[in-house]
Amino acid sequence: MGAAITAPAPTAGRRRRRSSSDEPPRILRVLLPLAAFGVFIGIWEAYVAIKDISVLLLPAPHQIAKEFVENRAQLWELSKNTFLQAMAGLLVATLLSIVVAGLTYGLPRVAQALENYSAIAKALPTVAIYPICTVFFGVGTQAVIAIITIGIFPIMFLYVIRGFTGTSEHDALMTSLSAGRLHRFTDLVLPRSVSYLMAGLRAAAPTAIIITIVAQYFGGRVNTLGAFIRRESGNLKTLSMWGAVLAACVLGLIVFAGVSLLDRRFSRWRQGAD
Amino acid sequence: MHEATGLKANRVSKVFATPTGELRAVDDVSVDIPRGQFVSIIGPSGCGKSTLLRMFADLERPTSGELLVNGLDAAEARAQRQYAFVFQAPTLLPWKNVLKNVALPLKIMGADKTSRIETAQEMIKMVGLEGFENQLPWQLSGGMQQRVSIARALTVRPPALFMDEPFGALDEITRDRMNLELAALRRFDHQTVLFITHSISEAVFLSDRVLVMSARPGRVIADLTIDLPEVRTAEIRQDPRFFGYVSDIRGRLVDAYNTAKA
Repeated sequence: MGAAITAPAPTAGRRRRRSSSDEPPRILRVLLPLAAFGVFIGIWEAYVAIKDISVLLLPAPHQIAKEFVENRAQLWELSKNTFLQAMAGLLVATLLSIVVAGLTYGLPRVAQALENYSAIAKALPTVAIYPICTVFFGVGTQAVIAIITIGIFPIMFLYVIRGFTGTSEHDALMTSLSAGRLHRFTDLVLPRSVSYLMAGLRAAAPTAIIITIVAQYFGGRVNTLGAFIRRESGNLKTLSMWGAVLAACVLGLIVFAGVSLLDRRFSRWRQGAD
Repeated sequence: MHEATGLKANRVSKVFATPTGELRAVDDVSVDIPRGQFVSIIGPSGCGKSTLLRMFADLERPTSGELLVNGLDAAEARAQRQYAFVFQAPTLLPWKNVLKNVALPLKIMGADKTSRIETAQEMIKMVGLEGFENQLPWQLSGGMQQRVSIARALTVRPPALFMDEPFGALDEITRDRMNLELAALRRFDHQTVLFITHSISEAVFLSDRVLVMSARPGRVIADLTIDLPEVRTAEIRQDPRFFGYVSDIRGRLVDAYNTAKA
């Protein structure tokens, strides 16, 4: 058997205790990236103006921003539909991973085999099998949810199974206290799992958005971001397409911020743990 | 019941199956520890001292031989909560505050909420962490975390205490202070203690008796009674007898390492 493939610990590389000496002050940590972004936009704007590039080829940032604002009603509708599909897929994948992890609870060999498969599946470009999904589910919501589930399940499962089966000195502690199944579950397995679940969502949610948009691009309802981007690009409505791309970026950021907040809310105790 | 016997190992061996063959961690160990005695086990790394302790705690099963805790088979003793285990790492549940961590064994035993909070608070006071009840483990230093773990172990007033290098991760000064506190704490209940350590001076300072184990396969190669005053205070570290024991054990440990290499 291969070595155990494990999900990264939920603590990996974040919210470390900050030492003031080797990090720039807070104001700089915010200002520097903003300045870099501003410079990037400036160069873009200048390039389009100086070279006099057609809006069909590459719109200037101010044009995209204007389009974004003017078309906000439609973009909101498209983003909402994409968001709902992504969340539906994420929910199905998460529930499925909890059920499967629960079924393998107490079967370490089966769990280990599934972990290994998940680790491999995670590395595959699962979105490429989307056409197969459309054969079974048709072009639409069901197919999109199916492909998100296929893509996200391995990620979520690796985290959830860690929380369920993770053996540590805590398990030995519970044994030494002669804890029954109920206490072992409520005092150790459940809180540990919630923490891993949150960390899993943090890793999986942005990927779910990406898979959703790509799947919609290759075949989804016209009232979604991905399908809209393809249609506008096909019709050479470049500016309109850029507006939707910007909306997709904003959606991704909002979802990531959301799950990060959720993770922080449920896992405050992880703070400072290395 | 064997009232006189706190802990008893009778010809205990432990063999682990590894990919490269069998590994004999503990080899035919017999010890008899009277109730109330503080016994340290010292020996080279990997000599099976932790394994022996974990077998007493029924966290590992012996390959052969029998282990008794207060006259009960180790598994039965665990079920009847005859001992508390202090791990090398504090092993606190990171999502529970100090109070809830200390009260955990009482919760598992089914004590009602008011009484377990009361007892836990008493223990927290005893280890000098009053005022830290609502802190989460990460907010405490390593020494404070290990104090919480000791308070948790003492909270059920166990007849036996198994400690697996509990102060191994602490700095020298903190360790000395924790040794003093542990010696003082034990005056209340006078538990039977089996204590694993790498530190010779810690073993001598705390113990009534020190067992020296050989390198793998682990055997008990020396069994020394530490004849120092019952009440262990910081001054004992200056006692010539203290130095005598330390250098005696050091010599035996050097032998243990040398036989391992030969």
